[in-house]
Amino acid sequence: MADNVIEIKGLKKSFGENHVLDGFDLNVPRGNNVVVLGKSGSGKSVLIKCIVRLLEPDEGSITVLGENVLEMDHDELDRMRVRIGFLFQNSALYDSMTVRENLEFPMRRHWFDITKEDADQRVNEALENVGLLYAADMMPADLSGGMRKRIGLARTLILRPEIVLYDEPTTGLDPITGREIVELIMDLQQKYNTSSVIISHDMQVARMTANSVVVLADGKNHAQGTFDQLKASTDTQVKQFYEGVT
Amino acid sequence: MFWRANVFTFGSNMSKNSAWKEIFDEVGGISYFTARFFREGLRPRYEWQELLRQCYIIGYKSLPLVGITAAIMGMVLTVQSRPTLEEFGAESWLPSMVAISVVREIGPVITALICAGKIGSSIGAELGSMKVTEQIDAMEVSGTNPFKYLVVTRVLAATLMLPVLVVLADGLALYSSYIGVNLKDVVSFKLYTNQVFDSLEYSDFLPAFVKSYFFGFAIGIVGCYKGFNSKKGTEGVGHSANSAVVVASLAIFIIDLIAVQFTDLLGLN
Ligand SMILES: Nc1ncnc2c1ncn2[C@@H]1O[C@H](COP(=O)(O)OP(=O)(O)O)[C@@H](O)[C@H]1O
Ligand SMILES: [Mg+2]
Repeated sequence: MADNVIEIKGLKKSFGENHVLDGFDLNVPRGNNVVVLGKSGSGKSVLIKCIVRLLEPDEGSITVLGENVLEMDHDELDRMRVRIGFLFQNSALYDSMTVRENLEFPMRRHWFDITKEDADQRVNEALENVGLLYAADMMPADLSGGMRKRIGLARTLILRPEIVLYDEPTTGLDPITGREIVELIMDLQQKYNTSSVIISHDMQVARMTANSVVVLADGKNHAQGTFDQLKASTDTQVKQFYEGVT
Repeated sequence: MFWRANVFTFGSNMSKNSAWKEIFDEVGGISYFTARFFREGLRPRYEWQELLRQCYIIGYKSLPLVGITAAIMGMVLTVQSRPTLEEFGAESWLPSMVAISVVREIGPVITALICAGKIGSSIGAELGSMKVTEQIDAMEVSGTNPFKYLVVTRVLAATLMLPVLVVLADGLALYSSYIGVNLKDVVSFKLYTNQVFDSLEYSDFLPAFVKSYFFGFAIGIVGCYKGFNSKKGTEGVGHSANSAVVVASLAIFIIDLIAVQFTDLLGLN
């Protein structure tokens, strides 16, 4: 069996009568980028929120780094969440804190005994990584969308996660900034050697990052393959995404 | 089929049944939230630093507003009561009368209502926007229990700070009442304070003080509940802030009503 960092089987999640995920399967091999494509409202965010248990699935199994996430108690879950980074769609920076405090927050919360020097050094390194060292003392409200995304990325990576989940990393950005963010993601991915799930409906992202592409439709893993394999597909659900892509 | 759906929701919103259902849902939701507050608040880890920060924000930053309102209230009450008391030849009762009304009822209730507006709406809006921009989710995956970090601290801070604000408001109201008395009379500060303290008993002060804790608790809980259950979008956040104020103000009057029955039963009136 290949070395999978994430294995999802038969995942189901409904909100009342709205069956969002209806038996979804997914494997993420170590070191790979899996891009999950889906229309708006197809349940992409629900999927990655289930992986870190921000949402409780109704059925199915989720194994992350060899451990069953759904059977974890609170402390085990906290330890697992250090190993999984999550980049939220709108970056989710804490409005009431400066950029520096935003980056310090996950460290202080997970590593109680971290020293001031150590924390400072990590914050500086994280900000340098995204080219925003000068923004350390700014408030999130004063940052542009692209800058917020970079800071969000820095905050996500500061704990050195082994797996990173990206929720629509380019949505809401102009194409050029979006491209820069994707390039940054790829650079940092190589530097820190992470595996990732990237959810998106942006084909640019899929083309640039994906080792494999999964199409999420009707709550299921509708199709899977490399970017070029799916490009050749005749399935209508798959073709929708490739329309206009050369 | 758009018009059809609209007609349907319009109809059901208008019916009495759904209004009652909404009220029961609200009461149920807030009760559940309150139970969760006690369950999570009692367990470690305790967020002391955030609690202190919230006490500062909720208590200290509300001082100017509460102070100005209290001062005006004491003055107006004094000036307005004088003619009536004069009619009965009882103007010497003025300080006592004002003191008793301020300490027993007007001080706590007005302060609580002002705070429902200021604190309740700001908690509702802050947590609401944190909710819809996924900051609360981000906290959760950062090894922090958002309920403890955000809700427990704010509710505790509001509960602890409101009585302090009420005492300060009472003091200021009585001081400005002293000025009000002196607009027409000449009464020394010493005589005035003697009169005030002679007329006040513990049974005037204590129930009002205890009641203020409940006012503070209600403001905190309702604000947090509304924020935590905010709907998506900016409209949702605005609605959270707005309904936090409305529900908290209503809760204050209901608590006031219950409190007066209680003190009556205990013979403290
Ligand atoms: N907490 C929730 N409560 C109720 N419904 C939800 C919740 N989260 C998501 N949904 C519903 O699940 C569906 C998928 O949402 P989502 O995963 O956010 O879509 P997307 O693929 O655009 O990320 C939507 O219909 C949404 O309304
Ligand atoms: Mg989404």
